Parts: sequence; structure tokens; C-alpha cells
Amino acid sequence: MIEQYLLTELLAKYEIDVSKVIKKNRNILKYGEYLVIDKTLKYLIDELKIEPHNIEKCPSIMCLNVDVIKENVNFLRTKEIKFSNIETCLHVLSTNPYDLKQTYEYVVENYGIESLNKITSILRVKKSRIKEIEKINIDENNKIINLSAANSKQTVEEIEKIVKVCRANDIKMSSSVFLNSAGELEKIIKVCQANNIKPIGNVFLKTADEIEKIIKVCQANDIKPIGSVFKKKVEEIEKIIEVCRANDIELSNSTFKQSPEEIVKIIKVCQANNIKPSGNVFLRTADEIKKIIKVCQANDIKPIGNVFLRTAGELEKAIKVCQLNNIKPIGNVFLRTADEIEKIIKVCQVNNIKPSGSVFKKPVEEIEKIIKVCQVNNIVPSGAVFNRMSKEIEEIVQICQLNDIILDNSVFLRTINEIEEIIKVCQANNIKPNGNIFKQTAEKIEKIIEVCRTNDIKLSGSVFMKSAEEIEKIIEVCHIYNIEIIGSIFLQKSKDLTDSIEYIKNNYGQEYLKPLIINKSVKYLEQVFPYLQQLNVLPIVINSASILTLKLEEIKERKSILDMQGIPMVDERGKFNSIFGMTRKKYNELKNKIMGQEAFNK
Amino acid sequence: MKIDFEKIEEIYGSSVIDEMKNSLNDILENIKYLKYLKINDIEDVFERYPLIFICNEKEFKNKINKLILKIGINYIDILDNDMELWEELM
Repeated sequence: MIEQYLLTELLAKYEIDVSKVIKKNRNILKYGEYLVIDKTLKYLIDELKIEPHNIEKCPSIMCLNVDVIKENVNFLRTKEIKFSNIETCLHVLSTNPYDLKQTYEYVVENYGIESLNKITSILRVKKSRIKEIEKINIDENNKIINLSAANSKQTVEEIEKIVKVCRANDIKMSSSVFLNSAGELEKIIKVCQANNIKPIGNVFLKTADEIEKIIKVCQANDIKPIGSVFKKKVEEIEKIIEVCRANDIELSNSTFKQSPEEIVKIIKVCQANNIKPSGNVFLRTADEIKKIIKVCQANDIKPIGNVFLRTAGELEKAIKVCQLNNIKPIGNVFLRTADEIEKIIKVCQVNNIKPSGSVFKKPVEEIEKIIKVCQVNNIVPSGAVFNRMSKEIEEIVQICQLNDIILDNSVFLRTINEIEEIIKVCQANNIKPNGNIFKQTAEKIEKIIEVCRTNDIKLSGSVFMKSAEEIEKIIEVCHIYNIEIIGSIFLQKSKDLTDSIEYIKNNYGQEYLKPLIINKSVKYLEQVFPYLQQLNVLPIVINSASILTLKLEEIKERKSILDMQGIPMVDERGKFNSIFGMTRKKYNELKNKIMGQEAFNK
Repeated sequence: MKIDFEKIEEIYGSSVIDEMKNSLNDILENIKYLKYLKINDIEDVFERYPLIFICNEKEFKNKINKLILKIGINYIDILDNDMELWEELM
């Protein structure tokens, strides 16, 4: 037994929040012993560098004999299991070492190390239970479900009933179906069917009654009843909606990951630090966000996006690994832990691949497989390739070969099913499915083709960069003002084109509405047009627009060189002097020559 | 290679920068092709005519090859002195 004030003092030494610990497991006060807890924490935090928040999630480990923990750690460290998974699943370390070893060997042999890394907490389950559940034969195409079932609190008999209910209702077997009894599962399925909700995932965290109430609140507030909403009680959902609406925050799945009180704190921290309170920010508590911001500031990183996928401690480790390996610590890098980043870098180095961006979208084992598939099929392993699993890539290669499609990066933006649909649409419309076409889905491609055909526009690559609606707007604007439609015009937004057109038409006249003029920003035209008009050379741009690819300062500088030599800006052909058409290097050579001559003449 | 993206944004607007981000791989391959062709001052070509690079590799190569066939064997020198020729790829 340990007094609360002593526990508070002891945990503060290791930066563990005693309130979280007691909330999670009040028995700590009953069964905990000061010296045992101190010794265990010293080992876990000082030696193993376990994050305090992982111990807050699993406080019972503090009461265990540290020697049992050490034996399990020493065993697992020699094995292929990712230790970072153990860190977030500490209760496995409290398993009897003999049972842990038995389960480890059995699961690796029969399910593979990947399964163990996915469901690490199975290590606390006895091998005998796993074997009993295997006899039920839940899903022969998805063996890992046996581990999910074994990992649940249900008896073997109850699991059999749950499986029957799922089969009868065509429910996909997943770990969450085992959270409830078979009877409750049936009720949940009925409620979902009555409300047109897919009975999957977090839905099974609640009872049927609770789900009905949550759905009512969501419908009353025009929110989709999906995802994290089902992790909260009805009263909490209502409060969260109130807080978000009061602070003009867009309600999304992530906003329901925290309590309403925590959301208020998060908003304050975000406002104080000029951060938009949205998205991944809500994955962390306000305190954690403050720590993350400190780490970001210390390392000159913007506190946005994926940085909030990691804790402050994890972020620091990841940044160090990036710095050691000369990688920019931004974006997709933070999808991975420091360990994973190191392993990915090694794999990239061995295979002569630049470790950046999309490479970090997948875990290292999958990256190795992807690289192999790419090497066999002569594909550059970069970019969108890492959006897909290695098996998918193989299937995509096959279908592309069958249909004579060039295997460039954009093909991998789509799944195999999407590619098959795109091919159908292209065949129906006599188009070769290549390049930018894969930036769109089959449905959108059909609409774009329709718009282009209706308006007699050539189906070049750039039309597939925009939606059909945007292309229609661009075409309309060009038709209204009788502007020739060239391919690159579709790379601009219709609004930007309209702004430039309006400016030119209202101030200079329709004769200037040429595609190579209107594709410049209105801000730029507002600077350059008045200058050229002042010099009485503006009409020349109608047929000689390449001067409009230089900044105003560059135009002025090149003109000053002409002035030095008494040469007019417009030549005898009625076009701008060739000095405006030179590359920067060529122009600098000329300038240096002229300046040299000037200095010599003086 | 050092590109002045601020210049591109100033002249063409921020939406072009967004389009570039969506086509990074294509752009890099297209730049590689110009390097292969020994085109001078590719940075300046990119800054002045960024839109020509935002296209699929095969399409880009076809357009460049057509342009070079039209210009002739002295294409490097000619393009050095007359950037307006790049407009044919727009």
C-alpha cells in the first residue's frame, strides 16, 4: 500500500501525472509499494527511456517486480519485434516470462513477425488460448483475426457466438467485434442498419443504446456519425460541438479525440502560438502541444501537420535522426518513429534511393518489398509508388503491360480498381490512358472528356489537371473574350484568369487579351503594363509577350543597358530588342562586356 | 539548381506554385531531360516558362524534340538568345 501524497511525490520525480495514473487504475494505491515502484520506474524511464505517458496508460506495471520485467525485456530485445510497440503496450512485460516466450515463438511461427508487431498485446495471452480459438476457424483468409479474438476479454464460447452473428449479418470480422457479447452485437447491428450506418470500427465501442443516442445528437447537429464520435459519451459530444462552434472550429473526426475541457485548452495554446486549431492538433493534449511547439521552435520547424502525430519526446528523437542523416525534418517523415526513420534511411542508402517525402509513407518492411518489385519491373522507386503496397504495384504493372500503358509515376496515384475503370473509360472514348489522366478518377475523366468534346478542345495532358467544372469555367471565360485556348491555360485557376482579363480589358482594351498575357498574375500586370505604356511600347506585347516573363526590375535593368548604347527598346522587326529574349547567363555576359567597354572608354 | 520561386509566384500567381507541387516528379524528369540535351541556364527557362514543365514526361519530350527539330542543330545557342521560342511549348 502507498499513500497518495507519497505516490504523487514519487511519480513527479519521473514526470508522471499521478491523477492520470489513479484515474486509470486506483488499485495502485492499494497494491503499490514505494520501493518497488521506484525501482521499476528507474528501470523503465532511466534505463529503457520509456515515455512517462506510456506508463500513465498502463500504471499496473509499476507494481511489478522489476526482475520479471527485465527478463521479458531482455528476451524481447534479442527478437525481431519492434521495441517501440512494446513501449506503447507495457502490460505485456508483466506476463510470466515462460508464457511470454511460448506465445512469442508460437505467434511468430504461425502468424509471422508482422502480426506480432501489429497486435503486440497478444504477448500477454497464453498460447493455449490462441490454439483453442484457432479451432473455431473464424476466417481462413484472415488468420490474424484469431489473435484479435484471443486478445479480447470474451470466453471461447462467446467468441463462437460472436462469429455466428457476424456471419449471419455479413459483418467483416475485425478486432472491435469482440468488444461486446454476441447479444449486444446483434442489437448494435440492428441500430446501425436502422440508421444507415456501417457497423464497423469504433461503433462497437458502445452499446446499442449509446449508439442510438449518439446518432440522435449527430443528426441534430448535422455531423456524420462515424469514427471518433463513438469514442465519446453523448454529453461529451454535445459539449465538444458547443466549444467548437463557439470558437469557429470545423468539426471533424479529430475534434472528438479529446474532452471538451481539453479542447478549450488546446484552442488557447494554438491561439497563443498562432497555430490553426484543426486536424492533427487534436490528437494531442494542450500540454503535449506546448512541448511539441518548444521542440519545433528549438529546431526551426513549423508546428503544423504531421508533427502532432508524435509526442514531443518522439519528435525530438526523429529530428535528431533526420539531422544526423541530412534529411529535412518535415512532412511525411513524422509518420514514422525515430527507429523506423533510421531503418528506412538504411534501406534507401543500400538501394541508392533518396530518403525523402513519400518513402516515409510506409513501414520499412513494406518499403523493402516495394523496392524489390520496382527493381524487377524497372520502375523508379519514388513519389506516388509509395502510395501503394508492393502487391498492388505488381498488379498495376501487369495491367499496364496488358494495356500498353506507360509506367510513369502518376499511374501509382490510383488503385488497381481505379486504373481498370480508367482504362474502360479511355477505351470507350478512344483515348490513350497515360500521364496526367491518372490524376483523376474514371468518373471525373468522363466529365472532363464531355466538357472538352462539347467545346471542341483538344484532350491534352493539362485538361486532366483540373476538375470538369473548372475547365468549363476557363473555356467559358476564353469564349466570352474570344481568347485562343492553348494547353497551358488550364494550369491557371479560372478566377485568376478572370481577374487578369478584367484588369486588362478595363484599363487597356480587348486587343491585349492574349493567352500569353492573361496567364500572368494581376499583381504583376499592374506593375508592368503601366511601365511599358509610359514608354509607349505596350502594344508590342500583343505579338511579343516574352518580355512578360521578366520581373519589372529585370526589364528596367536590361533597358538601361540599351539606353547606355542608345539602342531603342523596340527593333526594326517591331518586336522587343533581343536583349529581353536572352537567358540570364547570356544577358550577364553581354552586360559585363558592355560595362567593361564603358569603363575602358572612360 | 537554385530556382527563384518567388519570381514565379510574382509573375504567374500562387496557383502555379500549387500546380507544381502536384507535379513534382514530372517536373524533375523534365528538367533532367533538358540537362541531357545540354540546354543552358535551365533555371532561367524554368523561372520564365514554368508552365511548360508541368506536364507528363512523354508529352514534354515530344514537344521539346519537335522544337529542336524545327530550330536545328544549333538549338542550344539559338535558345540561349531567344527565349520566346519556348512559347511554342505552351
